[in-house]
Amino acid sequence: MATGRNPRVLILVDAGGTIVLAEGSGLAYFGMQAEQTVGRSIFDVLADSATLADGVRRALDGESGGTLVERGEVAFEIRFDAREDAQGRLVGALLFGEASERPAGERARPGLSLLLRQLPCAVWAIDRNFRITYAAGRPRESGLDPARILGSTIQDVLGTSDPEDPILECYRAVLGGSAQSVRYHFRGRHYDVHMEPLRDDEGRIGGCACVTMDVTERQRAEERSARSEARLLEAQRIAHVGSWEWEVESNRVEWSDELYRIYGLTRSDFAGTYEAFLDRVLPEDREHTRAVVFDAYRNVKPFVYDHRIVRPDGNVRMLHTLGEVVADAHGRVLRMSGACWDTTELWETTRERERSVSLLRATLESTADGLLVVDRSGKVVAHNQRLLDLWQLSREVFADKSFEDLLALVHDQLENGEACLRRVHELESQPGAESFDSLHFRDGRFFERYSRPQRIGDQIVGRVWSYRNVTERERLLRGALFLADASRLLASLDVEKALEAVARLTLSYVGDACAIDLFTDSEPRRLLVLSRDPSRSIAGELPRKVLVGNPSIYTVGSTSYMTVPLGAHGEPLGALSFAAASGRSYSEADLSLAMEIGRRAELALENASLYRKARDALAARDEFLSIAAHEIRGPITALQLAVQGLQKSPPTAVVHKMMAVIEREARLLGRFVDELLDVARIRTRQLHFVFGPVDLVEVTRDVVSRLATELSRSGSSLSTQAPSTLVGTWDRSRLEQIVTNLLSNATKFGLGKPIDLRIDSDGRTARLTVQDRGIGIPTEAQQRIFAPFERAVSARHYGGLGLGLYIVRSVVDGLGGSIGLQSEPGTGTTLTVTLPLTRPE
Amino acid sequence: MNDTSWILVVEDDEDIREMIVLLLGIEGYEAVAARDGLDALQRIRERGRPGMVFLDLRMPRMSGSDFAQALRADPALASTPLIVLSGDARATEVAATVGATKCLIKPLDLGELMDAVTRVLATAV
Repeated sequence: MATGRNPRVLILVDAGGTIVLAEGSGLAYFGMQAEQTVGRSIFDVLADSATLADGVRRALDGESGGTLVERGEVAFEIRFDAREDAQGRLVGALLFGEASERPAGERARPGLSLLLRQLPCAVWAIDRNFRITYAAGRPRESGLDPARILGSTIQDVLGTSDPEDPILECYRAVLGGSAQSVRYHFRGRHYDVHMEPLRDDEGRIGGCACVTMDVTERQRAEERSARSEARLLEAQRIAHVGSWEWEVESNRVEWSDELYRIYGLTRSDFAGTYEAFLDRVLPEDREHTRAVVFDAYRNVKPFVYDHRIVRPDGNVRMLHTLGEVVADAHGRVLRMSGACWDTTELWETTRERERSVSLLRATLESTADGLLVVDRSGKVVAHNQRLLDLWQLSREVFADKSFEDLLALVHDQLENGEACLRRVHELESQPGAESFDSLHFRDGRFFERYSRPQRIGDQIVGRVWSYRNVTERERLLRGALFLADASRLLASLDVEKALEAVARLTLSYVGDACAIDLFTDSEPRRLLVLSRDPSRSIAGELPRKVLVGNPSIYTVGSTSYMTVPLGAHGEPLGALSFAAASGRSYSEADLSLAMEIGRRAELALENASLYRKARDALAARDEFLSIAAHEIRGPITALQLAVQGLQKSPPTAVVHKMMAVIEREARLLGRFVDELLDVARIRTRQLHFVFGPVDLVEVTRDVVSRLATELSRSGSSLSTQAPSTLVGTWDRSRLEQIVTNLLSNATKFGLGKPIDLRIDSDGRTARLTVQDRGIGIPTEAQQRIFAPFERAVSARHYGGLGLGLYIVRSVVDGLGGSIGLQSEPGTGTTLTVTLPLTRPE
Repeated sequence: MNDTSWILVVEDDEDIREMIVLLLGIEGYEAVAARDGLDALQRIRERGRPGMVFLDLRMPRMSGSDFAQALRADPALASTPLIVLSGDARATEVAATVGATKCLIKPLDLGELMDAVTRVLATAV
């Protein structure tokens, strides 16, 4: 260091900044006088020089330093040194300044060493033996003191003994004539070192000059930047996010690596233009993409949109793009940049979920069942429209209701409401149980209720209730069962009992009450009334419609009724009425069922009637057979006894009697046979007539004479009034049959009293009247006696097959005539046969 | 012939009645005809207790059964033997209820008829 000529300053302060010593010729440059300055605060003295005050403050904090200040024409190099005691404690600071050495007149310049102290750089030189020949400045953190390292070798300073150390190689290279620039890591910091060979005047390399700068911060920033970029790339790769930039003017598109991966392209596959980008966009999304980009360009605003791209392998990806637009001060767009996120998986997941939700919703809404999902707390979490329809609830009423509220709301609609509610409560304690039961509505509807737990994984989170309207099925089933039961009951031939049983059966199915009316003389007579609730009355009045034979649904008061007629062969016989349970209205389906019951009841009535007729007919036949047997045994007995008597060779008078018996009885038997044959002919409609002119008077005379014995035995007298002749076109033998029958009946039932026979004519018809005064025929029997096997009196007392009048009527019919009867018990009977004189058409 | 030697024939069929009476007559019995129950009671009132009665069941005015009851109701007549004549095979039961000795089912056989008379009268004597 130079001494003497140059002005200097030396100021010593204690730890509190109080000046302890101030001396030197340069003090005046700083406006100080040595005596006046001591004892004052250095900071007061240097109040006008922030740079110096700051240097002192740093030194008092233990940080030595230096600076360059100009005072007038003189530049002072100032050093600030911290002062420590023997224990290393800070006790004060030293400020030492010396004017720079420079030729007078020249503008003062800061010295190199001062510059190097101010900058984070150092300069040094070595000779060919790596020994340091010059050192100035010190990189702030290196801890190397240029004064101390002077004369040391590089190896010593760097602490390396490895001859292969790269830095030594560098020195060697420099000494070999090749300048080097390296970045060197030393004591935790980074330095850029530049080395140049030092040549003498002859150009020989005698050493090397080196300059270094602490680039630790830059190095760290670079590392941070590199790391950050790597992280960004990694993040892009992981997140499938790529970035892009489009220089609009030059139409250059830059993509990040990840974006290439997203597009499934390599750099050589992509022309790097906007058009090349558009080419990769799915054709359906191109228009939208153009529109979005154009809009962003025109309005200079950020944009977000989704579009799809096609990879070369055909795979379609969904990208979510965020873009920004950068413009110059005039609003001219310079570039756009942004990021693309491959959201295909998310998109597909979302789409899949949307599909699932849509499918679920569609399924929920398209099912015929009403569905209700309830969580464990009883909150309704899902339902479908069908449920509301089934339960007849409006959306407003349904909203915000808990399951319990809803149950209370619909409870009254049910017949078996209590049981259904009980089941729900039972299931609350058995969350894993499934259940199935039936709901029976007061209005006649039937639901099936199915319930199963709702699970997420293994956890039961709620319960799904499904309701199905099975009314129609149930109606058909119950209808079929009911009709089967009704048919079984109606199979009974005791019709009234059967109807009552059916009416009883209907109570459990068709209605609350049932009534059966029978129409006698067209006036309804209530046969029976059955009611589930005995205190309830059933309307007595039948609607007019039913009386004329039409089924009807009607309302009396608030009760729904239906009535179906019961009839046979189109004639109304009665009616079957049902009264519905309260709240229920009969439908056409109910009416159909009632009509079906009615039809079956009619059938039952008809069956019973047929059965009665058949039974009566059988009884009549049995009676006839018994009578016929008796009647035939009579003549045979007489014949047999007569014949056997003849074999005994009786006296002549007896023989005559016996022969007469034989003749009479044989004729009687013949008549029986004829009658039976006639009945058979009538029955098979084979009664034949041989028409010809016949004189009724003559025929009557013949018959009377043939029956003379019979008449005389009966004790009745016969008086006849007849014209001399009355000829008509008739069948003679049939005419005989008519007269014989009328006359023998009069004889048989005449009680021996006089009989009148009259024949007359009005010119068109002939009339034969036979009147007795015998037992007569009761009114109720008067129609019956014309039927086969019928007689008005007990066969016990009066013989005959009971076929006479049946045959007479049939014969008279065959001849086109008619037969009339007038009779009174105890007074006698008058039978009148009227026959046309001509052959009937 | 004592008082009970005559035979009453009650039968509404005139030919049968006549034949029985005739045949019994040929065999030497005194037979009296009646056309129904009432007629028969009249004959008994006239003649007293018969040795036996041939009785048809189905007859007008008074049936065989009614006649038999009337007969049994009279202590003097109650023991009169009855032979029922019927065209109905089921008459056997009715015959038993009226205390008939025998029931002959029509058509009657002369031998059967005579056999019945012989037996009844033999027992009665």
